[in-house]
Amino acid sequence: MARALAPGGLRVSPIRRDRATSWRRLREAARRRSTGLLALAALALLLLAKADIKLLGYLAERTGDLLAAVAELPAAPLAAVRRATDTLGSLLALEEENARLREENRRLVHWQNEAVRLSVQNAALREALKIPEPPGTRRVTTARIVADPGGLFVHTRLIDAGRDRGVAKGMPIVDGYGLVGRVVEVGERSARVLLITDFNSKIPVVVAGSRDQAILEGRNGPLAELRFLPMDPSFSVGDRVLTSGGGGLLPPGLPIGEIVRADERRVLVKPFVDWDRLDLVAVLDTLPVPAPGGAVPTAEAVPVPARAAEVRTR
Amino acid sequence: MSETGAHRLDLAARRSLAFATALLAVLFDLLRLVGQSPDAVAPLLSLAVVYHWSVQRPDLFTPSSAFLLGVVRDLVGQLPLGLHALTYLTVPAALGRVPRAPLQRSLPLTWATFVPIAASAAILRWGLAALVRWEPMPARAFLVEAVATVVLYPLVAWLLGPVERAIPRTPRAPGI
Repeated sequence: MARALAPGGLRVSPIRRDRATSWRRLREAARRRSTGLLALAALALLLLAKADIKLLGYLAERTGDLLAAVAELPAAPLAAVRRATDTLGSLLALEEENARLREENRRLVHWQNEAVRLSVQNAALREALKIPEPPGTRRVTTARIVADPGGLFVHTRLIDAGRDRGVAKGMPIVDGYGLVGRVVEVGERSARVLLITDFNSKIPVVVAGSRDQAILEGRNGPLAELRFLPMDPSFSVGDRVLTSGGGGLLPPGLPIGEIVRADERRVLVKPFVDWDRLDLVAVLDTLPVPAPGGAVPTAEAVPVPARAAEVRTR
Repeated sequence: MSETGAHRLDLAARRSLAFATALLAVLFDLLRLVGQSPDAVAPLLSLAVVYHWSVQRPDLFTPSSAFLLGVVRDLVGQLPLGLHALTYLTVPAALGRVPRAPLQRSLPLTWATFVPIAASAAILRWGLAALVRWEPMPARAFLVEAVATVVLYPLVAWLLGPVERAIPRTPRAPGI
């Protein structure tokens, strides 16, 4: 008789007890099959991603910003702790505050000296970097590569500059040797760069010397492939490959690499980019084509976003 | 806050460490510490961490955790959602009803069990990449990634050891 009573001492009808048992069994079955159900959900998400839903694009853009912020975090906690200490100190007493300010002044003098030293070092590094600004382009900003969001699936890199520094979709990214890739997604403070080695990268190019036009396609490896060459190409191994400017995607004349292998099946190009030392890159923009009879705009004459101007004047 | 409340909060924080370390591993995967070369391959640390917790604390790292971690990884990496969720789900799917107690006691056994799981994950990733891009992908990179991940597993297990000891085991935890 006692088994027919609920924990509270109330009598439970057989129907309700059966329902409770069925519900428990259902939950148990769902728990056992959770991995399979979740795998189905993941497949459904993949199909959704194929549908190119705008919300997913928006989420991806925002998470890119977040990742760029996280990648820059190491300095932030230290600064926050320092700020918190300062605030607390000011609340204690004016005398202590005065002593603290003296101490801070001493530290600031030290940091000022350090800043001067770093400034000199920074100028030297910038000089050493010497990222070219090819004719017909202007440097929008210099950015640092902070992450590799695509892994093995997509050859992309995240840079720490976005709309806030004038970066826009389609802009070419170069290092001191040649084209690295182009911007495919832009967030507020970050941008995603599709490398020239990615499968999806297709760039109109011209072979210097022979003037053969072709499309350079990535192969998800260190080399890229020349496709759609003319029927009677006249290039040779060792020739340089440059952007042709075809389709208006990229400015013409950006160095990309040199032909390292050519046989009946394929023509392979080794990019000039120094992948092992790739850290700082320049984001370029194409200068507008001058009107007939008008003056050719110089890099200085083109309006530059405030942050970019700040970088250029350093 | 009552002592019970503080104790519960402390317990919840400790139990969330398993997922937190997996998130940290995802961040490491993203930061590319092995150079920018297109043919440089890094180990998939997050897979090793998912495997570690799935073996040591399946009560804290459920298939749902693996799914959620994968979705986060794809969102942050701006990849088609589901790619990494499927990758990480190979771990609980492969472990299935395998008794965890022998694995929890022996690192060599855990390590050896990880080999076929990492290989399965690599094959799945290679297949998914080809499916998503609709063209064959070089298999070498996925193979190297799997080998590097397996080689690195003992280090991951060693690093997660102190974290594991900080999480109290509940009497209901399975596989103990």
